[in-house]
Amino acid sequence: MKKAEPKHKRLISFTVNGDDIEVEISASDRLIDVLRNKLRLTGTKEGCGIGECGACTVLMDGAPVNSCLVPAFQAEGSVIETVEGLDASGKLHPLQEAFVEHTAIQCGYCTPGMLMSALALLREHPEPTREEITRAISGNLCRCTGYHQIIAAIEDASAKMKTTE
Amino acid sequence: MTLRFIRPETVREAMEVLHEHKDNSKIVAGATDVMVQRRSEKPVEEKPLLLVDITGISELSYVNFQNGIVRIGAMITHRDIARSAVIHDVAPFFADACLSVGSPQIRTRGTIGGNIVNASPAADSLPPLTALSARLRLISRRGSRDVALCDFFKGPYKTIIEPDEILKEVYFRAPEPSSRCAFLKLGRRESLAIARLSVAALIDVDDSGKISKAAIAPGACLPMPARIAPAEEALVGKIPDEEVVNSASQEVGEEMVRVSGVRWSTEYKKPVACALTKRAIWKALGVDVD
Repeated sequence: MKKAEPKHKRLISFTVNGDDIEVEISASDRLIDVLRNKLRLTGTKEGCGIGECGACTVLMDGAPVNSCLVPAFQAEGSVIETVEGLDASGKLHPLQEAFVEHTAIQCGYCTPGMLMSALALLREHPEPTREEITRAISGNLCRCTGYHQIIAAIEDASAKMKTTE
Repeated sequence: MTLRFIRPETVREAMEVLHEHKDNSKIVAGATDVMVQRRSEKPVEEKPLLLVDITGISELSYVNFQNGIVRIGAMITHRDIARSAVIHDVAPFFADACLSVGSPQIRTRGTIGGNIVNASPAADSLPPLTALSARLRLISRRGSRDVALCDFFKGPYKTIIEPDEILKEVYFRAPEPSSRCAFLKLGRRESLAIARLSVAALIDVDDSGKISKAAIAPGACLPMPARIAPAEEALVGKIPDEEVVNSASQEVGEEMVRVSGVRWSTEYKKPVACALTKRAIWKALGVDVD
């Protein structure tokens, strides 16, 4: 049995938006620090830093997490998806298009996290009810829109994604 | 300050690490509490610390239901419990409580083991587990021991767990199929709200319509989880009507003041504790009340 040794710094590998990456992290790094400062994926925003606002939401193995609360070492071997992955094909994702069309963005700070929570929802429930939508984005605070435009955008994206299938 | 981490892959390995570093290690699971606590710590006061990340230990991730006993591995998340068919079947109020934790993001990471060991008086999973008379299994290189959930806590955020011990699982006997349960939580908002008050009620009614068993466990109003015996005694043997349920509910408010004393919030919390208990009992009995 190989015995793990305590480490201060370590090279870890994981997948970000489909790319295998290797990065040196220290014990105190958070996932959001690695994404923003080391990988320069600054689409993910830090709001409160204590898991209350959801601005830093990314998907970890398909489920939404607050990247400010995930120690970087826990990302090892995981599949991480950030907002940068949504338009990787060069074209906006239907969710992004719907957010623009419905003016679901005002200051825009919550948008990356909101999109990732919505993405996780639509993958699991392609035709969510309004209640499922509000529950799915309940961990994402938006201080501008009042949420109605965001919910409408997610409903619209769901419908569009269904017709394009 | 030297912060290091280690990610054992087996329980045995984790126990060795904790044994060797028991003076300066801290177990990390979902990290949703640890990361917030670390942020508020003053760096100058920090000693060398080893974070022992146990999320990679797959043998701590299970929900078993055998011989009437439900066993939940410590690394099971709130999301897992909220989606578990077994838990929905045998103790739906426990699934409800886990679904009320934080946000989808928090529930993805936060574990049942972490929620128990963090020992917040407002922890959402604790009232239903208390009502279920859950027990815990703690393991270390020295051996294992089982303790009743209620005996695990010494006070707010304080437990009897030793520095070299790991919480392996929480387990409870599945309630009788005839029993009914409910969990209600009152927060300052719908999501991302720490409970101001919560109540778990587990009630069984016999063929004659009398309450044969009752377990009432409030949250966020006592220093540590407990069942309220006077409230349960007010219910057992009675046919539930408004007077019976009201008097049982009153006992929860009285007990809160007896144990926690009169505080700035008592004027609000006492009547609310009574009202929330009343609603939880009626909800468990299948009666809708506002």
